[in-house]
Amino acid sequence: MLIGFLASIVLIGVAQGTGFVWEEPPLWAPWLFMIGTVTSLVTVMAVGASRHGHLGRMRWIFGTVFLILAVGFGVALALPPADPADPTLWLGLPPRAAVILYGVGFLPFLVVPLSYALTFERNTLREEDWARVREAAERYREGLPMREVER
Amino acid sequence: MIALALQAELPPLTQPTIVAVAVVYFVIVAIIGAWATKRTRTARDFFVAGSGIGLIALTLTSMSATLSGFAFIGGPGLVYALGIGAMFILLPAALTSSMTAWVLAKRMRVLAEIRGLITVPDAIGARYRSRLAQGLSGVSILIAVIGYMATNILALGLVIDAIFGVGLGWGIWLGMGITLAYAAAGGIVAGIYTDVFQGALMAVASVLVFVFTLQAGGGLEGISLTILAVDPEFFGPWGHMGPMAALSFFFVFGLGSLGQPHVVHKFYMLRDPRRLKWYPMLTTGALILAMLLYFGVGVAVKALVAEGEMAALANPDQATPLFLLHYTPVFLAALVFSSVAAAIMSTVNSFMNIGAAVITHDLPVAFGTKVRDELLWGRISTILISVTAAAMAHVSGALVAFLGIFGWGLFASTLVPALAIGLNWKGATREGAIASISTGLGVTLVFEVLAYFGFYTFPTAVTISGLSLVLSILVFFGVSRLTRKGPGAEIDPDIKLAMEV
Repeated sequence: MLIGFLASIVLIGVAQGTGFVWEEPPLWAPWLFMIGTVTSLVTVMAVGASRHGHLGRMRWIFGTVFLILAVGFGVALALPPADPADPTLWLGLPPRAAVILYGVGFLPFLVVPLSYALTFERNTLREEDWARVREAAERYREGLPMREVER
Repeated sequence: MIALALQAELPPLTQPTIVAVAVVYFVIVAIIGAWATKRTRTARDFFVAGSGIGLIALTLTSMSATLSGFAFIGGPGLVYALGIGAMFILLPAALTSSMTAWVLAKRMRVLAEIRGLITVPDAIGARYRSRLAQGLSGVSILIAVIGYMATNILALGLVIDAIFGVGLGWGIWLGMGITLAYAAAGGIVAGIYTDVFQGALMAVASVLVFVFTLQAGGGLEGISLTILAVDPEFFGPWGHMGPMAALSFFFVFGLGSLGQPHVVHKFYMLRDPRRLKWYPMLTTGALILAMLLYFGVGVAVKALVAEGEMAALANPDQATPLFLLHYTPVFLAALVFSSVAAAIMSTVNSFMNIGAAVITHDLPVAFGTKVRDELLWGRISTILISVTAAAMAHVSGALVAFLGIFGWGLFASTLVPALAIGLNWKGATREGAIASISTGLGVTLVFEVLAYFGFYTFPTAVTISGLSLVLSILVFFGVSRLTRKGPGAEIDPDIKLAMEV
């Protein structure tokens, strides 16, 4: 996951670097930037959510978020511009704006915070984890040496 | 959240209802401040709310600290001027609270439990066993804080001047004085509970205004069709911006949210960390509600101008005030203007507190010493920082605009690698953290100064904050890799525990 994160930052760096080489960035640069940005956000979340480098079933959550964002931005990049003569609207907005606002801006809200809540006790903070933390805090306050972390 | 802030003059708002609501609002803030002052007896109370806060308070204070006056004034103006591209500043909000919760919330709360940490640089110092890393991150925070505060105090001065007609100078000092009164006396306790009041006010006002924007524009469909007829590019995926600039917003405001000390610092304060479970859901929901106004006013005013109902705006920042004055009941307008002041004050208050913590706590720790009475010096530092920022806002609007621009980027490039990645990656080293913080600080300051004086400007597709964040992350990984076998790679067992659970 960290390698994925690092690779995404390199992609963003390359995309930004095109601005120094060409006055108008090449057509592939926004795609690179988009893939890099989406990957960086999803992988950093996955790094934070993983336990000992493993995601378990949560990989499906992050896979879904990646798809939502990548497809949303991809569709927005690929769809033709709005035609004033054919004002098709999706939920009150022109298609590309709708994809960006509802797809990229709102849809993740329905998936990500709920996933965090539903996996919290099993994945984020277990009762036994908190007990270990309290014990470590006691030892720190009393100046006792810390026990090495056990998996 | 947002470095960009109100810089232009607002139309006069000196109407009895608006003035009365603003006075009532300031009285409520004063009452909360007085109550909080009684509860603030130690430096821990002052900097991390002593015995802690509950989930709802954490949610609303995070939301209030995230949103500045920009969300109510500058943002809608930006949507009016740039179209959908301006939304890329807010779009990551659907992810950022969850991302921050997964990456930082639990780890910081665990660190507070074990070590009793009170500042963000404390966490960096503990993670890398490095006073230098703690001091450097403190310096970065202090520079960004003063810039941010000056920008927000200038905006507050403009709002107070528009409501009370006292002149910009008095507006700046009155606004700063009110915020300072409760921040210096009641510390973060006052800040948290005024944030709770202010956050609730912002969310309610935003939803109500959104309803009126739909009514004024003939529904979302009516607004879209009106704008499409005259300016189809407005509703393109990037609006009037290029894709690179829009995506750069998404990247910096998305990933950069992990490095905002005024928000992540509050994780230390949650009384029961098991309540974090619902934090992303509540905070994201509250943020989305508070942002309805940002989008609604921007597109409604654009449609009203396109229809000839409103004259084209001389300055985009006037979108919200003019819409409120002409299309909403005066009481609602008054509530929103008080909300704008609330948003600015809650952001300023958060900055005052973390800036004072740097001076009172982090810099002395970096020099191997400790201030004897951190509570007293915390209050004195709060006053010093505030007066400095207000003086800068009073003396030079151009300088303030310059300082406000790079705050977000400076926080992001100096804190995201060392703090957010470092607390999740055992391969990070002290040298990597120091090199990364130095890179973020150096690149941001050098290129922003060069751009300010007109010596060198980045190409349009490249932003300084984006590039600085990329470089600081790459340096962090590169230097950590090179120094992975040195003593700087060691981690204390309790910190390891915080990274493992």
